[in-house]
Amino acid sequence: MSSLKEKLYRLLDSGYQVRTWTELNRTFFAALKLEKIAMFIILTLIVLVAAFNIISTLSVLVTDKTKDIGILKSIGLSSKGINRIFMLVGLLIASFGIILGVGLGLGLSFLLRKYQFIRLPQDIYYIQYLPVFIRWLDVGLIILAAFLISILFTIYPARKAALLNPVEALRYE
Amino acid sequence: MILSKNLISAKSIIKTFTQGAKLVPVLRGIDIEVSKGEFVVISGPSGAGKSTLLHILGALDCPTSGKVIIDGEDIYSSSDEARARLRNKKIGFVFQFYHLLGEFSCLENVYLPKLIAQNLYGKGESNLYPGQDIRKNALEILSLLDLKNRADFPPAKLSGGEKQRVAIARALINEPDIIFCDEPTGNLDSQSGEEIRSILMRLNREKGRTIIVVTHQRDLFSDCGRLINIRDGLISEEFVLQEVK
Repeated sequence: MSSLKEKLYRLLDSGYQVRTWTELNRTFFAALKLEKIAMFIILTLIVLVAAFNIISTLSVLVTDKTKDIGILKSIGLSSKGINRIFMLVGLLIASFGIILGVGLGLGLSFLLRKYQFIRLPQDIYYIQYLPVFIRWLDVGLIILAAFLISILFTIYPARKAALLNPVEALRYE
Repeated sequence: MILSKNLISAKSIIKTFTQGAKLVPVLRGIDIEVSKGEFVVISGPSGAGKSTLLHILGALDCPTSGKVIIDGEDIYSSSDEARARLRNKKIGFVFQFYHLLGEFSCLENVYLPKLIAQNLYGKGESNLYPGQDIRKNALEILSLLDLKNRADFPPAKLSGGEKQRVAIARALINEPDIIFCDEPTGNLDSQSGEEIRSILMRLNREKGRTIIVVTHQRDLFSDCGRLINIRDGLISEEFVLQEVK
């Protein structure tokens, strides 16, 4: 945009002013930027709540399975083995969530692109409907981030399970 | 590796629990030596420290101080991984409340230690599903204990005596050197208790397994090899009833 502006400026006489669309609607774009920041904060909070859900689900599972952990340790499963089981459970929950989330998100985006069912007031936004542009790099980054966050939040409950004393675990009712 | 003629050698075992700010001594310096093929019964009043001693001898709980040597290996100076491997390969446990996994069938409960051995401590490829040989092996042990027709049952559908026999089958699957039993007849009626006693006796006399039983019912095991009485965290009496052949 700015290179086009420069080219036009060079072509035209000094009596002309060249301004881009974004410069003309500076307030509108500032508002959109603010909206983007607010959306980012809201989405981060949603991700955090979801991640804490993984911690609480796994912590409940560890408490629920305390006796079984004791039994498995008594028959020779090491702390590392117990840790691996709970990491696997965490990753299964995460994978299920990621597949479901990405599937629903992409599905909705394709539908929106095809049927344009979210209309926008044209006098404010200059376009008639909510535009959709899928950037596959972003999709990949989101999947990677979700996996990393899930692994990070699975470490604590899995470690808690692995460090259980087998004798105390066997006594647990 | 420490060379010793004993299969188990425990020296100056002290175990102290903490209850808030209070220290509760449970074992106050116990020395025990067990030879291969022995049948040892540990008896004593409630709270004497019998089960704690069994857990420490069986690599389940660390002593506050002291040494336990099993088959030449100082188990509490080895890693958690090494102790887990020892529990899997050389030790079998039978508990008062059976401790079977309720979500698995009896057969699955029995072959689980073998599956762990195959996946974590084996040399071959790991496989989360049991091969035909593992299932066959587990079924053979269940047959020996008259439980073949219960193989696919969940433990909840079994009587106390049957559950304890499944627990014995599970303890035997990896052919351990030592079987530790914590009140194995404590939750059973007299007939089932007698059955369990006779199975343990047979395993000791016919298969040469080293068996250590903690019990209140010392009369039930009056024909064992050695009887050790524990009182207030110390060995109060010891009787050799039968020499190891």
